Amino acid sequence: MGVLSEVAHPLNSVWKLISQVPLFMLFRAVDWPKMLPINYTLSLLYTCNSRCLTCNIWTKHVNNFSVDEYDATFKSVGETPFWFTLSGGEPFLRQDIVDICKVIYRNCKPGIINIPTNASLYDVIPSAVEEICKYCTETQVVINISIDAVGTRHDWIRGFPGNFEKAMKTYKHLKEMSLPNLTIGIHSVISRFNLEDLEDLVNFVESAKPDSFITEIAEERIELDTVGSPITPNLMDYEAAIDYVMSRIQNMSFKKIGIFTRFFRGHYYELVKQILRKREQVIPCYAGWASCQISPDGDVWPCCIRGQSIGNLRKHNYNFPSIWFSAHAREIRNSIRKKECYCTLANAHYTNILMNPLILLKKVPRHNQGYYQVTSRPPFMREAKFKQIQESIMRINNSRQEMVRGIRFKADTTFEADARFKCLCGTRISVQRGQPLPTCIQCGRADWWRLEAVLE
Amino acid sequence: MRFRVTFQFVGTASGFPFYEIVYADSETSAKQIAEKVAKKFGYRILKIEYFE
Repeated sequence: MGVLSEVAHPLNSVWKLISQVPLFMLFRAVDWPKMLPINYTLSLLYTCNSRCLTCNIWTKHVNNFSVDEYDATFKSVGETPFWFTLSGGEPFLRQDIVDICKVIYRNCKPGIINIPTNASLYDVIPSAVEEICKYCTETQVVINISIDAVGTRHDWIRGFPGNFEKAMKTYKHLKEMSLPNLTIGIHSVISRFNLEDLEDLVNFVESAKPDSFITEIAEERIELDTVGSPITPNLMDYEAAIDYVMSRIQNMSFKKIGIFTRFFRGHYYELVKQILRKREQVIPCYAGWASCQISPDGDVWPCCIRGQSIGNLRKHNYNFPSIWFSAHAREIRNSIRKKECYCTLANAHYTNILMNPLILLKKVPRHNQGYYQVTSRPPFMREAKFKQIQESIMRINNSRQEMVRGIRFKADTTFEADARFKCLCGTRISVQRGQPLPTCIQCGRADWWRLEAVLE
Repeated sequence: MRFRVTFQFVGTASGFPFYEIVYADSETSAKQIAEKVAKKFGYRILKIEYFE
């Protein structure tokens, strides 16, 4: 009963949302009927007090939208939005964030307002969140605190000494408030920099007991100015990492919106693996139809990965539909429809999954059967710990596992085919058939080559 | 012989180059192996150079 009442309003909105799915399908297929998006990401500012290894957004400076400008914009979209994400930069650096939320609520009555934050402003955030929750009574407010590792490791990744400690203060204050429409989550970016911290991170999440826990892969984005930066983990490492995280969190109990986000995230993580493997849109993308992003200076983008403006709200007199249904928007939609891009952007994938409901139906039983397992040792995890987890998991099969987990080869071994190997330290080599395996030039190990692929 | 092949990841993480060592008996063989790796994993070959 408690859980149902906590999510009652979003549930009502979800039914309303589901009824719109066929209309969005038609809109994407034949450009009719004209639909406004249901999922808005508002980038409120680029300013940030973190200096994350995975993000350079703080280097940008623009003339931010004012509360009045947001008010005028959302008057033009009415109550069509269901989900708002207020991102940045650090959203709570905006002193008018409460007013922005009020404007959104007054005009749109969304089901969910989600605010990701580094939670460093522990003396500002709790009071602001309280005011937002008390004003937006029929909206679930989700505060996602970014935690990428524990303690000083987190501070190092975030480039902000003392961030972890401050975030914990904020988390504690928020937890103590126990507001009915507030969901407090922990959000982690899985990048090349925290693969070795995942075990500690999940242990921390277990003890902190947040209402939800989500992860996202570090991506190169135009918006974050990270294109060309080596931040994304490779496919093998990501698969191992996400399998490990899912195997650990599947028995945790989440609350409120966290129940839904875990359900969606399970499907999302599977999609990410497929996308990284196939390098194409695995399910039709609805960015540009059902989801959009608005930059701090009013540019409307179908998504932040492409970061392509379809028009500026200031130049269109804050009339969102006039931009959304323009010829230029149609051009960009055509490009997305033709699968000229693909990405793993989590926010857009929520709507993508919703718009492709067959995926949800297909995979639900797999969760109940304990589908997620530790299929390979997370990078740098201690061997003994790994064995302990392995022993606790009964179902171990599938050919990929054999390859990833499987046999280790020693230096001087030769093969009858060209093959690619990976050392424990992550170094990859390719060896012609008949050539002996060397010692690793990176770490000097001579007995830790795992077969990654036979090259035929 | 060792060859250093510089690949570029094409995809979500588009853009950043990285290198791998290929152990082969000639540059032609190294090139063939690099092409197989590039095809299998979706990389682009930027350059192949003799290493050491």
